[in-house]
Amino acid sequence: MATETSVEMTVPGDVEHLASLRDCVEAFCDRLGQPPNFTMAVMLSADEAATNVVMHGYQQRPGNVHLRVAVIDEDLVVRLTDTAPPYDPTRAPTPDINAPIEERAIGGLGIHLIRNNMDVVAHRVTEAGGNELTLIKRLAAPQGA
Amino acid sequence: MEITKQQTPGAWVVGATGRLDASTADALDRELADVVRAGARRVRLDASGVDFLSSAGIRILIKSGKDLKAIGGLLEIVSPSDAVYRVLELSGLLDALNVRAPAAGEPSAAPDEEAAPEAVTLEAEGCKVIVTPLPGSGGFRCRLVGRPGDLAEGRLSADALTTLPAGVEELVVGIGALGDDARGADARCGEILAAGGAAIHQPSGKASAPDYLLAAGAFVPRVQALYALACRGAFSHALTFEPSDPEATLSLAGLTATALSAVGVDAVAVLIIAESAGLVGASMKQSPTEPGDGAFFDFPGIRRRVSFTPDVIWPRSLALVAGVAARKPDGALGAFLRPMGDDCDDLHAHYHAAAFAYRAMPVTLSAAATAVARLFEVGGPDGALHLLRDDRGSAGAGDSRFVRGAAWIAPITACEAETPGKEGPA
Repeated sequence: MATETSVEMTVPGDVEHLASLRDCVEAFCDRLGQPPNFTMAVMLSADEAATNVVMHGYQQRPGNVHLRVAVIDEDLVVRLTDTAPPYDPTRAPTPDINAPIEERAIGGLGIHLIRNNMDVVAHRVTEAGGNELTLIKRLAAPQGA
Repeated sequence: MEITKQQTPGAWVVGATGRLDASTADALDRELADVVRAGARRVRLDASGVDFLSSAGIRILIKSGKDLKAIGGLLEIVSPSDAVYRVLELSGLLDALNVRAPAAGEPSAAPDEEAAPEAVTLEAEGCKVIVTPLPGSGGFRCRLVGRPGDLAEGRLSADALTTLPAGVEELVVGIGALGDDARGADARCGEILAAGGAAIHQPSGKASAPDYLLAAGAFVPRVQALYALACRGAFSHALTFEPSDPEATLSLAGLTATALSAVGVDAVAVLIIAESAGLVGASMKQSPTEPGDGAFFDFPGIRRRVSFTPDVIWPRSLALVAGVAARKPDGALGAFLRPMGDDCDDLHAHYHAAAFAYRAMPVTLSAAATAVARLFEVGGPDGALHLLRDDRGSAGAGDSRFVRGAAWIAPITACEAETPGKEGPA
């Protein structure tokens, strides 16, 4: 049986389109037979990364977010590219998640969730001067059983 | 996302269904703010129908949780879906957001149901006013610094400058300037107000935007005051108001009278952050330490020294107002206060206000210092003035009025008079 090994999607950089990106990730993971926890972790990470791009990268300016999800060996690889000003979210400080609510900083939680849900998070500036964020997670079970 | 709201005994239950992400977070934020404005102190968010939660949604939960906690209330997340529970667990927020475990079954009545204090709803001038007692024992001690009578007599000098702290626990109104150093401050003296960690000074002389300093970390702003009401303590009550009649606005005197009766004392410190329907008052054109010809407020010199608002100014701005008000104040405090109007039942007050560019800032109940800090997020005030009521009949501009907003109040528990600088005639 042929297994689709990659999917791509481009949406406008607007919070209204985040759900489409998540649906795309979810459908891909479901087709791979991944358990719900795995799928939710990847959906959440892709959403956090794309939200960052829309809210902090484009900041109401027009621009697209390109998503590619692929299986490479035993890994699921999510790659988000944009044309927003270069910003490396992996360098954001880690929030103190043990602080009481009064001291909780609002912000920084997105990248914390990505780090905790994915195995690898890598950023690079593209040739076009935008961003490429790669999120990798080891698949939960062997393929093609 | 679909949101339902239901008032039940002991708590408001807000039900959310669908995705709680960057595209829907604002809607939930508005609904939660609405129930708090309606008087809710204990809010249960039923998250059983939320199938996706991201940090954009968590941001709103943290914000609402903080705001409710600051007014003695509580946000609980009940019946979270697996998706919600997992993300909140990863974020270390299960305790902070009072998340009830998903398998806990039907939410039962919490044992500490009486923990949230009772809010009281009042009506004043066609506005609905909700007064909430704050946790802890609030109250301000008030230092009466300097002699305001010396201003009228033209006897204020730079020798009389007193350095006062203006941190988050202070509330100061007076005449002076900002900074640690008295040197050079006297020539710039004008209206000062400080509250919630912000200190604002309208320099006398040429028209310009006020100076301001904000408390940050260990930094506590300081002011140099010729005279001042310098209060320190914690607020005992928070109040929100909004029109119940479409065109209604609340006057400063009406708000003050409501504050005094809600707290049930004769003297209060007041901080207001509200959408202005127009402010009325005056600011100094000349530092009161400048040599003058006769008494400061005498005609015609007063026209050079004081600028009165010809009509209401800064309508549709956000006003930060700080002051002290009292019914029939005694001599020492009374010297610092002015009658609020002939029909105001012995109300006396001394209020200074700063106006900020209007923006849609939902004025919800939060900690006073948080609300003050939010005002400065996009810049400083456009102007500051001493609020006065203009009672010249139909020609007068009347009282300063507000459309909707919040105020924080505390009883003045003690007054200490102190006279800085050289001793003068009593």
